[in-house]
Amino acid sequence: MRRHVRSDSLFEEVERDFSSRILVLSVRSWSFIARGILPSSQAVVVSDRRIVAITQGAAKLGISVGDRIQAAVQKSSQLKVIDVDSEFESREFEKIVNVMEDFCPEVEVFAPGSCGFEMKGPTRYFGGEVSLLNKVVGALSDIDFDSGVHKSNWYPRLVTRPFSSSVLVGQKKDGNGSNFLGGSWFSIGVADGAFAAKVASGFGVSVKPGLTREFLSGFPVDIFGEGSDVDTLKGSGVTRVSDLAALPRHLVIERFGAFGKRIFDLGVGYDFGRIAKRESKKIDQLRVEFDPPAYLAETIVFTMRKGVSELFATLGREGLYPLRIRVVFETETAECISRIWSSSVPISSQFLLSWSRWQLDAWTQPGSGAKEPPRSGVIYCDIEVLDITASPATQLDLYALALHPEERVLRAIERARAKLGDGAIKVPRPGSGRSPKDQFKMISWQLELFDETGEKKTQLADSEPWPGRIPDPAPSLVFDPMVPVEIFGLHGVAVCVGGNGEFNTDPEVILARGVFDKPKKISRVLGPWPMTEKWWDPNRNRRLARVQVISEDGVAMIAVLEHSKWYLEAVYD
Amino acid sequence: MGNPALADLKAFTNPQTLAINQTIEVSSDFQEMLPGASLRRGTVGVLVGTPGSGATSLFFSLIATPSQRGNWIALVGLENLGFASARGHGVELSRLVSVSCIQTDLAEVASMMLDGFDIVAVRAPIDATKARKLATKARNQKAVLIVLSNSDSRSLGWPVGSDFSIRVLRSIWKTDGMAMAAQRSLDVEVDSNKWVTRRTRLVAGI
Repeated sequence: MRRHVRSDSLFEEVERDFSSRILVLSVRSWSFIARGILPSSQAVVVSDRRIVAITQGAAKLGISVGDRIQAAVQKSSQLKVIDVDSEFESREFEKIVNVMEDFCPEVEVFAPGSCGFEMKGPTRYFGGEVSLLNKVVGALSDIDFDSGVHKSNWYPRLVTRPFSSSVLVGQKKDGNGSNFLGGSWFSIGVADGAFAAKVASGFGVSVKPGLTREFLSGFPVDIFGEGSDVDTLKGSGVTRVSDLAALPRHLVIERFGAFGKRIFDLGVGYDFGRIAKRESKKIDQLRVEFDPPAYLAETIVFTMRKGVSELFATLGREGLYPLRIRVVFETETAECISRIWSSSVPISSQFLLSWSRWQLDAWTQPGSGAKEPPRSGVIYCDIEVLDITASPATQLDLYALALHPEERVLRAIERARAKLGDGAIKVPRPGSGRSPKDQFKMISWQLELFDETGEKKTQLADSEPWPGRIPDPAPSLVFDPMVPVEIFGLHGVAVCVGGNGEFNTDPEVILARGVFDKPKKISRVLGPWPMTEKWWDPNRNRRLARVQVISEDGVAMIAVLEHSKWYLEAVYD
Repeated sequence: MGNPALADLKAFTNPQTLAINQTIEVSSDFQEMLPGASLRRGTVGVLVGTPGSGATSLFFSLIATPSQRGNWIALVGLENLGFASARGHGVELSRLVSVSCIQTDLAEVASMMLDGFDIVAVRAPIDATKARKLATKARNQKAVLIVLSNSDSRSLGWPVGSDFSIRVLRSIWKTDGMAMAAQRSLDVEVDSNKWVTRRTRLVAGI
């Protein structure tokens, strides 16, 4: 059914689907049912020092919703006061939602104790609305609560009057459903549009198709909520929904803006609020596909990032935190690596990404892992949450501080590596050679290096001093590549070193652009020391002469003469 | 106070450290230079010196004790460091991680490093907005940020406040004819708490 209605923007006319049939399940006393509290007992749920839900037992004492807790406590010493815990209630409500999901895969949870789905598909599948409703009622009645209390003891629902526009849900001649009218713990409402269905669920009725406007017309405008706008409506004599629907639409919109538009449309039975579709029944699984196949760990982790953070956000909204996660990568040629990551503290999405990254690195870098490196690109990655916890021991923000220090270091490194690439992060390791730059070489960071800490420390400290090495102290700035410089003697004569290792003239000035702003006057020279490096290797051997120079302003440095050119090799900074 | 072993045990089982008192121990050479004679977590320090003045050596000896005590140190954008010299100053190299990046990424990378490392050293200059963010990050993460500047001018390349700043004016060498002797002293100007400026001469094998 299509109709011309004013819908999307305030005054724009848009053609849209007519509102669809929605089923809403409502469990008014969910706070108590979830905790297995009997209706006859005296209990209240409290939020912000006010009562938000009460049992029948409490109602008999004269306590009502909205009372202050202090006043209520004085009425009975037996009163059980429960702090609102929507996380717990949502979690428990999952059981009910799972039952509903057997009828429709797309169930929206409005609040703990209330959920709904679009009936179009399920109605067809289960052979009509009445048959679907009976099956839903039957399935819900079969739910077995741990408390062991027989379900007929649950909250009897007050059925005041069947509306002319609607029928009671579960009322059926064969009697199977009618049992539940008096004593079931839930109620179901059906109507065109989610809003009317929610209202109908309060009465356990099914509004006949197309009669939503008639159904709603008798209700007071309070069904649209509380607030100054509703008060204004009531103050100006619009007390019932029918009064509102009788007004010209544009005037309502002019006076109340977007709120006016929404309530007017709802009041006349146009409800385009859709059931928010849940991604899938399993919220704890994720598949990331790579098209074209991805070869670089960076690319893979980057592509995973969005999906993974959404997965974690979804879990987080449910109050769940993963403890064990399986990550599987598969390539085009069906090679596959699967690993389960687990942690005693909740895993964060960043951690999972780092771990996936390590997993990939271990797989793809030849020789670093036991497995053969893959021969083709990764086509998908499956992430499955195996174990979750409902209450993180620590808040996620604080949890970065609670981490083991080395885990924090790793995390920081992995972040920088994801940003800058593999080569950017280096660690110094002892090398071999006479020249200052050979004594230590910088090698790219790998996870394996992390384990070295402590164990190979001794080896690090004990590298043999090379014969012919520059004597200690070592220079603290080492240029690699060396910086070309000029060294002049008196009257600007270029300085060179003869075959017997002597200067042609005494060095007077050193000019090193890019290191020192100004030419430096030399006050002392030690050397030159001619030497042949790596004489055993014809390709790499070097003949050079090295000098240590101290300038007048106290800067000590090492200069090298090679192929008749001077270079600055190091500075004692 | 009874048995000292018991006191040790008590300190071990029930370490009472207030966040503000969390400090990183440094070599006694810095007694005169640092407020509280140690690196206070969550603070920013600036080391200034033109190339050859000795600032890098001073930096190495500053991080030597912390690295031996197991603190992790990140070097961001510090190229051309002589690690043989670092080891000569007693730095535990297995605790060092060096990150090279382009000038514009310096602050962002340093910020990432502050999340995990105890001490992060970064090459100046850094502009005021980023500097402020880095200082905040260091404070929140209880890390120490050390800015190395070879700027000659007053601005240092670190345009916001710091908890201490040490300017190395020059090195004074003693040579013994054949090679560079180990004896060097540094002329150091200390600006330790934003108000007091002192000069001190550090004579050490650095």
